[in-house]
Amino acid sequence: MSVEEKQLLGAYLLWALILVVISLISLAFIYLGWDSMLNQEDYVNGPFYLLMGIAGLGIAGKIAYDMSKMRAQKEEREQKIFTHLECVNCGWKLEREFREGDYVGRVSPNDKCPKCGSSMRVMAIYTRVKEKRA
Amino acid sequence: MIQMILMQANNQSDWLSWIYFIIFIMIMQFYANKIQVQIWMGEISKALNKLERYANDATNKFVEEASKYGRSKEDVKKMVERIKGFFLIGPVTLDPAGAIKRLEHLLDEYRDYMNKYMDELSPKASGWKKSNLRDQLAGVLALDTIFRIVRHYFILGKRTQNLIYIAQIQMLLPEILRIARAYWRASEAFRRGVPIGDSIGPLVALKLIGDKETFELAENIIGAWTDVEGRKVLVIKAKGPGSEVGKPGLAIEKAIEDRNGDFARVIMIDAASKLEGEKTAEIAEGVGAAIGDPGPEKYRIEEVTTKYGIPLDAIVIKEDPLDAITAMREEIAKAADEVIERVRLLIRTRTDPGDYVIVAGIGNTIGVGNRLEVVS
Ligand SMILES: [Zn+2]
Repeated sequence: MSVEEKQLLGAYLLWALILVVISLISLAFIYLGWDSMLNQEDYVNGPFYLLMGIAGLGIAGKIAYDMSKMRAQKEEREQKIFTHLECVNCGWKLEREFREGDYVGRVSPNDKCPKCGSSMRVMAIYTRVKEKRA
Repeated sequence: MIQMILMQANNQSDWLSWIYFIIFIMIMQFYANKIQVQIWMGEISKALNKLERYANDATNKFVEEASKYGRSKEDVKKMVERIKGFFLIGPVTLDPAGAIKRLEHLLDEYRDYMNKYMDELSPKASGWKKSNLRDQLAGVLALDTIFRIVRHYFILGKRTQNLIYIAQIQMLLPEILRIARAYWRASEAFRRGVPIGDSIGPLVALKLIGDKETFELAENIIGAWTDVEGRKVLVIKAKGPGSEVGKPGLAIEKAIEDRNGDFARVIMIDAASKLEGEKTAEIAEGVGAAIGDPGPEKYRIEEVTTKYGIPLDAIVIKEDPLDAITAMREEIAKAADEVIERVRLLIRTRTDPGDYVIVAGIGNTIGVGNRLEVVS
């Protein structure tokens, strides 16, 4: 585990703790507000407690949302590149991972057609992107 | 119920707690700005760290790669530090006469400088590896510039505590990070020699050329004669498979002048920015010079086609500007065949058999060769 990952984990645990504490306090306030309005008929402090509780839950929700985003941000790996090959003889199509030295139009020295054994030519090189944006 | 509230409100201690509460809110209002500034500065600082990581990572990868070609890592590192911040001062346009010529001159000088620098930096690299390294370095320099600008505003904001400075940069952060990530990926694509989104023009040209013989038409531009629907078609693209855009304007001008303007049509194919909401790899047709250079190439093409009255068609493939500088997406690569269909249709419907036509695939030809090689 790198220093950076440790830091991230530390921050993550701290936020999780804060989340739990805020949620508990908020729930307590909501109960208090409910109780004072229904059982003690206190209409000044009751709504106030209730409001505090709801606001607290809102903050907790925001923290949980930020934490989920924090996790999603982490994954950022190298892009996978694919090379699309076609047999010069029978047109058989093949896709494999990109190797350095590949370029479109090149007759690949290391690929042979699995069907007829002829040479294969690079016809396209591309990556696949998962569409996140609408 | 209102009566109840009034009754309870008469109670003095409740009044006091409300007053405390209101005072508390007012104080919070007062400090809200300060707290906001701190939160934003924290966000900027985090982004700045990330930008620095991108810049350092790209630099390290460049040093690693370039040091394979004849110089030690220390030497390469020193040379990268030396060229950081290299700039081009655009020509004065207060007196616009001849500005294009002057711009072209400056761009030539800029490119020559970079090429010479690469000769020095990686003396043993082959011609096209050298161009790839040059443009990988360009990505490193772009990341360095982005980092410097954000750092400037971060320090300025810290010193002045001015909400406006901080708010401006904070609001732009997501977009800045997206651009930086694209440059980081771009330098990786250039390192490996992978076609980028902008290479779709040359890719279409290569597919049109097929296995026909090619010849050098102008600096870093190749051409090939082929037959499309009974018309004699000169296909033009940058010389691959290194990272090169060449001078397509010069090449088209030369080809047209050589035949004294005897061309029925010029068709240009290029990548173009898509609007948000438009599909990646959508194809659109239009009229004009489809080329996104700083000016000189476009100018030449417009001049020469105007001189001989040759119609100028454009076919563009829409993509995100950031996709244009990173590894080509599958959708874009797959669009090449449809673009060729459009070219054929255009030639069939708008020219007569026996006519001469130019088809130019504009863009960076990295990872795209010059023709379909034949088995020796
Ligand atoms: Zn085969």
